[in-house]
Amino acid sequence: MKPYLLAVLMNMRDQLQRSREWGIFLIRIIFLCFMILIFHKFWLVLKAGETHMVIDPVSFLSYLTVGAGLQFSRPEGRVKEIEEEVRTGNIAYRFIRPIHFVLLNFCECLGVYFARLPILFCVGTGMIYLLTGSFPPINPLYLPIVLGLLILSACFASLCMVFIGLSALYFYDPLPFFWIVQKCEYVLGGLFFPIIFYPEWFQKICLMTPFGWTGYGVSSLIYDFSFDNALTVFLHLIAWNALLLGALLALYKTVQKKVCVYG
Amino acid sequence: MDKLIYYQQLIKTGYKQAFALKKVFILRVLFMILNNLMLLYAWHLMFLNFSTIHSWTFNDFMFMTGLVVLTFSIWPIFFRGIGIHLMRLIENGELDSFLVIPRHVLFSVGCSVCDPSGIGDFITGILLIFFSGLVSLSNLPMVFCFIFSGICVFLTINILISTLPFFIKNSSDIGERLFYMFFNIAGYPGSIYSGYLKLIFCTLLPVGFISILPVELMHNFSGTVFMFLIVASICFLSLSIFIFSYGLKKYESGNRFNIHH
Repeated sequence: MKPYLLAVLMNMRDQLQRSREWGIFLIRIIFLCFMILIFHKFWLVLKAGETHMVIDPVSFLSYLTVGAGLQFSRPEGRVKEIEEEVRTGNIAYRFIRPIHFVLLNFCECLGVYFARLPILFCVGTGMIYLLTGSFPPINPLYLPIVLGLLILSACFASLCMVFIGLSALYFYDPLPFFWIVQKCEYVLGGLFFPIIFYPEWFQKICLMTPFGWTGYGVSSLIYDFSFDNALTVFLHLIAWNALLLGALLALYKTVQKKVCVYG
Repeated sequence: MDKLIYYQQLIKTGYKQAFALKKVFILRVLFMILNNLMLLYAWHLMFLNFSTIHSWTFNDFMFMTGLVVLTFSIWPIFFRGIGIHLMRLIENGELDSFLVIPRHVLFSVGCSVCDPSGIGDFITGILLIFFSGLVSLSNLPMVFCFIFSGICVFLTINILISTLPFFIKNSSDIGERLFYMFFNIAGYPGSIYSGYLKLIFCTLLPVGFISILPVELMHNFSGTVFMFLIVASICFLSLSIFIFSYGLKKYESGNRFNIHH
């Protein structure tokens, strides 16, 4: 376990120490602030047009901060790096190392999430307070549970990225699949709008996919926490993570057999 | 004329290269269309719930999205080299091979790379504008002006971001993020912006030139606003080219000559 733990820690440290990473991260922070500002306006406009809103502005913005925080913490470049390794065949040199390629990449992604998520949440919380005068409506005692579930969400996203990267074996350029997964997170995961805004039949479809649980499932706990809900989200996240990990390991075995050195 | 033929040949070569992997080419185009339609569908569901967002209907939103996507698509189709590619060339000191060509560096680099996914955006944009129901024969010239203005704005942002490495070292990744941030902000209904935010988006950060003003002009035409839109877009573009030319004087060669296609 030690090398994997070190991979998480090293990536966390890289994110926090390198000025180049900070530059990119700063843009993400500014973008998050813009998003919160835009969605605050958006809520006000919706409120002005509708007599009944199902969600108050603090809950709406807190929901957005969790979802957007997860999105903006994502190490997107990882897909390209893995894809490049598969395409050139350089991945073959990784097979002989005593560290599992999939787990190493997964841990490196997690390290980035661990470094970025807390900062984005703090900035988001500050913005929410500036705009509404209130903090996210969650009991601080429940916060560790939500954070734990967020880590499971981040695990799913990390596994997804490694999976898409490895699928370069079949598709040569798997980036289009990454776009679609991203859009699934937006739409089916209710990244910016809680899926309660959607018609009921579409909400059911969303919750049949993993994105409904990694996005809406976790984010909605910030304003509607209950142990029952948290347990349901936890079980779904574990199941989807296990499923994806299984598929990923199977794909990795195929890559080991079929990859061509020098592409 | 010679210059046009040169740029045309550059673009043609880029597409020949991209089309060498036919399946990848088609996959990128199709998935980009699907990608755009998925997001539009989510907004459609939102509009089903609220019917209008500050007086904007789904048709208005469709028109806006079409305009954003169509004007954005011109960049990957014709000028994909401007942006991250150009920033990397500047950062690595590899711009020399373009500097010795008697053509404008910006457009030579811009036309040297192409991205087929832009074709998907282009098709989506045309379809959305057409099916929005806002376009008729009488306002078609105006729509073309909006498209022209949108292209100018996206190119301006791209060119300005491409000049970053002249002034700040290792800024290519930051620049790329900035551009996508700008594109993402342009994707929300312009009707939600008011007050200082609208002012910022219609001046300093001209997202409003694509996502706010065109739809407003389609409903309530104002000659002054229309002229402002067109003239300001051209001024922005000219200014960005000027800033790039100024930045180019600060370029430091890496003494690495590469042969480019």
